[in-house]
Amino acid sequence: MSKIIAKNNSVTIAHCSTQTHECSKLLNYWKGMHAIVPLTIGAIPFAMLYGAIASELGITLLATTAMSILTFAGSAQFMALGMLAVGGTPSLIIATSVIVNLRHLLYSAWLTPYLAPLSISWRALLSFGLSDEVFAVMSRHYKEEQSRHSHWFFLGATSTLWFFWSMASAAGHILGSQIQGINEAGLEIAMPVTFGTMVTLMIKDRATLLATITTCICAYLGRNLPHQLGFILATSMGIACGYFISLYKQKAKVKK
Amino acid sequence: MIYLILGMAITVFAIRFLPISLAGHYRMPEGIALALSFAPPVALSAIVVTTISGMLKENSSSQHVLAIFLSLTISLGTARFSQKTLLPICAGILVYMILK
Repeated sequence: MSKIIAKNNSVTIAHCSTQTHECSKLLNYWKGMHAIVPLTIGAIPFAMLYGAIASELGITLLATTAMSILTFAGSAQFMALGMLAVGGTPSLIIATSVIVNLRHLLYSAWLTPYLAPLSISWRALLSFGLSDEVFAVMSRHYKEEQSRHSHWFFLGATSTLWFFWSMASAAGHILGSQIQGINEAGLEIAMPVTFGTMVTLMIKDRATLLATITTCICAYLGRNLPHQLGFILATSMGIACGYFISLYKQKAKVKK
Repeated sequence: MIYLILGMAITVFAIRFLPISLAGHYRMPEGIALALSFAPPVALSAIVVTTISGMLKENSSSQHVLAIFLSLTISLGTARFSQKTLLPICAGILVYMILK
C-alpha cells in the first residue's frame, strides 16, 4: 500500500506498510481527492465568475464566500445573483433554489443504497457536498470500485471540491472585474466537456447508451421549457427508456 | 443577506439529504433500483445538452457551432479510448479555446 500511495501522490506514509483500517481510510480519502481534481478544472472558473459578479452587485466578500461555503450549489448561487440583480426577494430566491436543485433528489435517491450502512452524521456530512461533480465521480466509484471505506473516498472528493469552490469564489470577488473576461477565454465549455467525459465513461451497455441518447434528444426538444422542466422531462424519459430496455432484456434471457 | 444565505443553505441541504436520511428505514423496490441505475448518465447528459443549448442561444455562428462540435467530439472520443478523465477534459477545453 505504501508503494501505491507513494506512486500516486509522492507522499510517503511509512506506517502504512500493512493494510490497516486507518491507512485504508486515508488512501480512500486521497483517491477521492485525486478523482475530483479533473472536474475542478471546470468548477474553478465558474466559482471565480460567481465571485466577480457578486462583487459587481455590491455583495460583500464575507457574504459571497459564506454563500459558497454554506450552500455549495453553483447553479443556485448564480440564480440567486441573477434574481438579486433584478430585485428578487429572499423568499422567492429560496423557493427558486428548490426548483433549480430538484435534480439533487435524483442523485440522493441513487446514492441511498450505498450510504444506508453509514451513521446519520456521516450521511448528513456527505449529502451536504452532493454536487453535480461529486455525483459524477461517486456514481462511477460505487459502480466500479466500491469498498467498505468508500465514504472516505466520498469525503475526499467533496471536501476538495468544496475547498476549491469556496476559495475560488473569494478569489473571484477580490480580483473582481479582471475575472469578467474569463467568459471570453472559452472556459464555459468546461462543464459540458467534463460531464460529457463522465457520461462516456459510464456507458458500458446498450441500455445505458439508448437511455443517454433518449435523454439528449428530449433535453434538446425541451430546452426552452421554464423552471428546468426540460431537464426533469428528459431525465424521466431517459430513465424510463433504460428501465424498459433492461426489463425487455431480462425477459428475453428468461425465455432463452 | 444572512437570511437568504441560511435559507438557501438549509433548502439545498434538505433536498440533498431527504432521500439519504431515509436510507436503511425502507428497502428500495427492485424496479425503482433498476430505474435509478440509469440516473447518473441520464442526469449528466441532460446537463450537457442544456448547457450546450444555452451556449448556442448566446452565439449560434457557424464557427462557434464547429468549435463546440469538435471540442465535444475530441473529448468524448479521447474518453472512450483512454478511459481516463483528465486528458479528455483538457483536450476538449483546449480545442474549444483555440477554435473559438
